[in-house]
Amino acid sequence: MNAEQIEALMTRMNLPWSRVVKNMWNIDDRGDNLPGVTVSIEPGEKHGRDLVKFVTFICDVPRDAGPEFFLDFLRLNFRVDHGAFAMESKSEMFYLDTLELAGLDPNEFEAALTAMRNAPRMFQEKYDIDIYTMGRPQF
Amino acid sequence: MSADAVERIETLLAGCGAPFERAGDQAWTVRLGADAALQATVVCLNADAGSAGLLKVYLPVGKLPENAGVDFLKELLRKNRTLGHGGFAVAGRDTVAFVDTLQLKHCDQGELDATLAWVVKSVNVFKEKLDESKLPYLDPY
Repeated sequence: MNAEQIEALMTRMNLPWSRVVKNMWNIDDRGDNLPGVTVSIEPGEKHGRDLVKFVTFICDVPRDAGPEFFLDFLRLNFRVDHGAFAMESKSEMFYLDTLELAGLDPNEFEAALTAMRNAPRMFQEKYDIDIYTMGRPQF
Repeated sequence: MSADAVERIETLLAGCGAPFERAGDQAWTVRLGADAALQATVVCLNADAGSAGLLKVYLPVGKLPENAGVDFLKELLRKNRTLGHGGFAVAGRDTVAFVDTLQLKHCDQGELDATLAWVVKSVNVFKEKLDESKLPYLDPY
Protein backbone atom coordinates (compact mmCIF):
# COMPACT_ATOMS: atom_id res chain seq x y z
CA MET A 1 0.00 0.00 0.00
CA ASN A 2 1.22 3.53 -0.71
CA ALA A 3 0.04 7.06 0.07
CA GLU A 4 -2.31 7.20 -2.90
CA GLN A 5 -3.88 3.91 -1.94
CA ILE A 6 -4.33 5.08 1.65
CA GLU A 7 -6.15 8.17 0.40
CA ALA A 8 -8.31 6.07 -1.90
CA LEU A 9 -9.12 3.72 0.95
CA MET A 10 -10.09 6.53 3.32
CA THR A 11 -12.34 7.93 0.61
CA ARG A 12 -13.92 4.52 0.07
CA MET A 13 -14.49 4.31 3.83
CA ASN A 14 -16.30 7.65 3.57
CA LEU A 15 -14.00 9.22 6.13
CA PRO A 16 -13.69 12.99 6.50
CA TRP A 17 -9.96 13.06 5.81
CA SER A 18 -7.68 15.89 4.81
CA ARG A 19 -4.02 15.86 3.87
CA VAL A 20 -1.86 17.79 6.35
CA VAL A 21 1.41 17.37 4.49
CA LYS A 22 2.77 14.67 2.26
CA ASN A 23 2.23 11.29 3.94
CA MET A 24 0.18 12.71 6.79
CA TRP A 25 -3.58 12.96 7.07
CA ASN A 26 -6.15 14.05 9.61
CA ILE A 27 -9.42 12.25 9.97
CA ASP A 28 -11.66 14.75 11.65
CA ASP A 29 -14.54 14.51 14.04
CA ARG A 30 -17.61 15.63 12.12
CA GLY A 31 -19.91 15.61 15.06
CA ASP A 32 -20.16 11.84 15.05
CA ASN A 33 -18.69 11.76 18.53
CA LEU A 34 -15.69 9.83 17.27
CA PRO A 35 -12.24 11.25 17.92
CA GLY A 36 -9.99 12.62 15.26
CA VAL A 37 -7.10 10.44 14.19
CA THR A 38 -3.84 11.42 12.55
CA VAL A 39 -2.49 8.86 10.10
CA SER A 40 1.06 9.15 8.86
CA ILE A 41 3.66 7.19 6.96
CA GLU A 42 6.96 7.27 8.82
CA PRO A 43 10.31 5.75 7.99
CA GLY A 44 10.98 2.45 9.68
CA GLU A 45 14.23 1.30 11.15
CA LYS A 46 15.12 -0.60 8.02
CA HIS A 47 15.29 0.97 4.59
CA GLY A 48 12.12 0.32 2.69
CA ARG A 49 10.22 -0.79 5.79
CA ASP A 50 8.04 2.25 6.31
CA LEU A 51 5.46 2.35 9.07
CA VAL A 52 1.90 3.57 9.21
CA LYS A 53 1.19 5.36 12.49
CA PHE A 54 -2.25 6.07 13.87
CA VAL A 55 -2.39 8.64 16.63
CA THR A 56 -5.40 9.91 18.53
CA PHE A 57 -5.43 12.48 21.29
CA ILE A 58 -6.85 11.21 24.56
CA CYS A 59 -6.63 14.01 27.09
CA ASP A 60 -4.58 16.75 28.63
CA VAL A 61 -2.76 15.62 31.72
CA PRO A 62 -4.01 17.46 34.79
CA ARG A 63 -1.39 19.71 36.30
CA ASP A 64 -1.60 18.01 39.66
CA ALA A 65 -1.44 14.47 38.24
CA GLY A 66 0.51 12.20 40.54
CA PRO A 67 2.35 8.94 39.81
CA GLU A 68 -0.87 6.89 39.96
CA PHE A 69 -2.28 8.81 37.00
CA PHE A 70 0.62 7.76 34.77
CA LEU A 71 0.77 4.27 36.26
CA ASP A 72 -2.87 3.77 35.28
CA PHE A 73 -2.02 4.37 31.63
CA LEU A 74 1.10 2.21 31.81
CA ARG A 75 -0.96 -0.61 33.35
CA LEU A 76 -3.59 -0.21 30.65
CA ASN A 77 -0.86 -0.65 28.06
CA PHE A 78 -0.53 -4.22 29.21
CA ARG A 79 -4.22 -4.90 28.70
CA VAL A 80 -5.26 -3.05 25.55
CA ASP A 81 -6.07 -4.96 22.37
CA HIS A 82 -4.23 -2.55 20.08
CA GLY A 83 -1.41 -0.04 20.34
CA ALA A 84 -0.29 1.82 23.42
CA PHE A 85 -0.74 5.02 25.36
CA ALA A 86 2.04 7.52 24.92
CA MET A 87 2.95 11.09 25.64
CA GLU A 88 4.37 13.42 23.06
CA SER A 89 4.75 16.61 25.01
CA LYS A 90 4.65 17.76 28.58
CA SER A 91 0.93 17.37 29.04
CA GLU A 92 -0.76 15.50 26.21
CA MET A 93 -1.74 11.86 26.37
CA PHE A 94 -2.14 9.99 23.10
CA TYR A 95 -3.11 6.56 22.01
CA LEU A 96 -1.20 5.19 19.05
CA ASP A 97 -0.85 2.11 16.93
CA THR A 98 1.71 1.15 14.31
CA LEU A 99 1.53 -1.14 11.33
CA GLU A 100 4.10 -2.14 8.76
CA LEU A 101 3.32 -0.41 5.46
CA ALA A 102 4.69 -3.32 3.45
CA GLY A 103 2.00 -5.94 3.12
CA LEU A 104 -0.63 -3.70 4.68
CA ASP A 105 -4.03 -4.63 3.35
CA PRO A 106 -7.24 -2.58 3.43
CA ASN A 107 -8.88 -4.79 6.06
CA GLU A 108 -5.94 -4.35 8.41
CA PHE A 109 -5.89 -0.61 7.87
CA GLU A 110 -9.62 -0.36 8.49
CA ALA A 111 -9.42 -2.50 11.63
CA ALA A 112 -6.65 -0.36 13.10
CA LEU A 113 -8.42 2.86 12.24
CA THR A 114 -11.71 1.69 13.69
CA ALA A 115 -9.95 0.66 16.90
CA MET A 116 -8.37 4.10 17.17
CA ARG A 117 -11.63 5.94 16.59
CA ASN A 118 -13.40 3.81 19.17
CA ALA A 119 -10.53 3.93 21.63
CA PRO A 120 -11.62 6.60 24.11
CA ARG A 121 -15.12 5.15 24.41
CA MET A 122 -13.75 1.61 24.63
CA PHE A 123 -11.37 2.56 27.42
CA GLN A 124 -14.18 4.15 29.32
CA GLU A 125 -16.52 1.19 28.97
CA LYS A 126 -14.19 -1.78 28.99
CA TYR A 127 -11.55 -0.66 31.39
CA ASP A 128 -13.74 1.47 33.60
CA ILE A 129 -11.65 4.60 33.39
CA ASP A 130 -13.19 7.98 33.26
CA ILE A 131 -11.37 10.04 30.71
CA TYR A 132 -13.56 13.01 31.57
CA THR A 133 -12.09 13.27 35.03
CA MET A 134 -8.52 12.68 33.91
CA GLY A 135 -8.15 15.78 31.82
CA ARG A 136 -9.73 17.74 29.05
CA PRO A 137 -11.39 15.24 26.72
CA GLN A 138 -11.32 15.83 23.02
CA PHE A 139 -15.00 15.21 22.48
CA MET B 1 -7.62 -23.25 20.73
CA SER B 2 -7.92 -24.65 17.25
CA ALA B 3 -5.18 -26.68 15.60
CA ASP B 4 -5.26 -24.22 12.71
CA ALA B 5 -4.51 -21.30 15.01
CA VAL B 6 -1.66 -23.18 16.66
CA GLU B 7 -0.21 -24.09 13.28
CA ARG B 8 -0.49 -20.50 12.05
CA ILE B 9 1.24 -19.11 15.14
CA GLU B 10 4.01 -21.68 15.05
CA THR B 11 4.54 -21.08 11.33
CA LEU B 12 4.94 -17.37 12.05
CA LEU B 13 7.33 -18.04 14.94
CA ALA B 14 9.38 -20.44 12.85
CA GLY B 15 9.56 -17.78 10.15
CA CYS B 16 11.22 -15.41 12.62
CA GLY B 17 14.18 -17.73 12.88
CA ALA B 18 14.37 -17.54 16.67
CA PRO B 19 14.18 -20.63 18.88
CA PHE B 20 10.76 -21.07 20.43
CA GLU B 21 8.90 -23.61 22.49
CA ARG B 22 5.37 -24.14 23.64
CA ALA B 23 4.86 -22.78 27.15
CA GLY B 24 1.20 -23.58 27.65
CA ASP B 25 -2.06 -24.15 25.84
CA GLN B 26 -1.97 -20.69 24.35
CA ALA B 27 1.55 -19.51 25.09
CA TRP B 28 5.00 -19.78 23.60
CA THR B 29 8.44 -18.73 24.73
CA VAL B 30 10.71 -17.16 22.13
CA ARG B 31 14.43 -16.71 22.74
CA LEU B 32 15.77 -13.51 21.26
CA GLY B 33 18.84 -11.31 21.18
CA ALA B 34 22.51 -12.14 21.51
CA ASP B 35 22.96 -15.72 22.71
CA ALA B 36 19.18 -16.00 22.72
CA ALA B 37 19.33 -14.61 26.24
CA LEU B 38 16.04 -12.74 26.14
CA GLN B 39 12.97 -14.80 26.85
CA ALA B 40 9.88 -13.19 25.35
CA THR B 41 6.40 -14.59 25.76
CA VAL B 42 3.80 -14.85 23.04
CA VAL B 43 0.25 -15.46 24.22
CA CYS B 44 -2.78 -15.99 22.04
CA LEU B 45 -5.82 -14.32 23.60
CA ASN B 46 -9.43 -14.84 22.60
CA ALA B 47 -8.23 -17.97 20.89
CA ASP B 48 -11.72 -19.38 20.73
CA ALA B 49 -12.81 -16.35 18.79
CA GLY B 50 -11.02 -17.75 15.77
CA SER B 51 -9.96 -14.97 13.48
CA ALA B 52 -10.51 -12.35 16.19
CA GLY B 53 -7.69 -13.80 18.27
CA LEU B 54 -4.92 -11.54 19.50
CA LEU B 55 -1.22 -12.25 19.82
CA LYS B 56 0.24 -10.50 22.82
CA VAL B 57 4.02 -10.39 22.75
CA TYR B 58 5.81 -9.22 25.87
CA LEU B 59 9.12 -9.15 27.63
CA PRO B 60 9.76 -7.91 31.16
CA VAL B 61 12.56 -5.36 30.83
CA GLY B 62 13.04 -4.33 34.42
CA LYS B 63 11.52 -3.03 37.59
CA LEU B 64 10.19 0.37 38.36
CA PRO B 65 12.69 2.17 40.58
CA GLU B 66 11.38 2.41 44.11
CA ASN B 67 11.48 6.16 43.87
CA ALA B 68 9.91 6.30 40.42
CA GLY B 69 8.07 9.55 40.30
CA VAL B 70 6.03 11.48 37.80
CA ASP B 71 9.01 12.45 35.65
CA PHE B 72 10.20 8.87 35.26
CA LEU B 73 6.73 7.60 34.39
CA LYS B 74 6.24 10.43 31.91
CA GLU B 75 9.52 9.52 30.27
CA LEU B 76 8.38 5.93 29.80
CA LEU B 77 5.20 7.17 28.17
CA ARG B 78 7.17 9.57 25.97
CA LYS B 79 9.41 6.71 24.89
CA ASN B 80 6.29 4.95 23.65
CA ARG B 81 5.84 7.70 21.08
CA THR B 82 9.25 7.01 19.63
CA LEU B 83 9.16 3.22 19.51
CA GLY B 84 8.51 1.63 16.14
CA HIS B 85 6.06 -0.87 17.56
CA GLY B 86 4.39 -1.63 20.86
CA GLY B 87 5.10 0.22 24.05
CA PHE B 88 6.21 0.07 27.64
CA ALA B 89 3.67 -1.11 30.16
CA VAL B 90 3.53 -1.86 33.84
CA ALA B 91 2.46 -5.36 34.85
CA GLY B 92 1.75 -6.31 38.43
CA ARG B 93 3.14 -4.02 41.10
CA ASP B 94 6.39 -2.88 39.59
CA THR B 95 7.38 -4.89 36.52
CA VAL B 96 8.04 -2.85 33.42
CA ALA B 97 7.45 -4.83 30.25
CA PHE B 98 7.61 -4.11 26.58
CA VAL B 99 4.35 -5.30 25.04
CA ASP B 100 2.84 -5.36 21.60
CA THR B 101 -0.50 -6.79 20.54
CA LEU B 102 -1.13 -8.12 17.06
CA GLN B 103 -4.36 -9.22 15.47
CA LEU B 104 -3.85 -12.83 14.51
CA LYS B 105 -6.15 -12.40 11.53
CA HIS B 106 -3.98 -9.67 10.02
CA CYS B 107 -0.60 -10.66 11.37
CA ASP B 108 1.91 -11.43 8.67
CA GLN B 109 5.57 -12.35 8.92
CA GLY B 110 6.69 -8.75 8.53
CA GLU B 111 4.54 -7.58 11.46
CA LEU B 112 5.77 -10.28 13.82
CA ASP B 113 9.41 -9.83 12.74
CA ALA B 114 9.16 -6.10 13.39
CA THR B 115 7.56 -6.61 16.79
CA LEU B 116 10.23 -9.09 17.89
CA ALA B 117 12.95 -6.71 16.69
CA TRP B 118 11.48 -4.03 18.94
CA VAL B 119 11.29 -6.48 21.83
CA VAL B 120 15.08 -6.74 21.63
CA LYS B 121 15.58 -2.99 21.22
CA SER B 122 13.28 -2.19 24.12
CA VAL B 123 15.74 -3.69 26.59
CA ASN B 124 18.40 -1.13 25.72
CA VAL B 125 15.90 1.70 25.60
CA PHE B 126 14.80 0.87 29.12
CA LYS B 127 18.33 0.31 30.43
CA GLU B 128 19.29 3.70 29.11
CA LYS B 129 16.33 5.17 30.92
CA LEU B 130 17.47 3.59 34.15
CA ASP B 131 21.06 4.69 33.80
CA GLU B 132 21.81 6.40 37.10
CA SER B 133 24.13 8.83 35.35
CA LYS B 134 21.08 10.19 33.56
CA LEU B 135 19.17 10.77 36.75
CA PRO B 136 17.45 12.78 38.03
CA TYR B 137 14.79 12.67 35.39
CA LEU B 138 14.74 16.36 34.75
CA ASP B 139 11.82 17.48 32.68
CA PRO B 140 13.34 18.54 29.35
CA TYR B 141 10.24 20.39 28.24
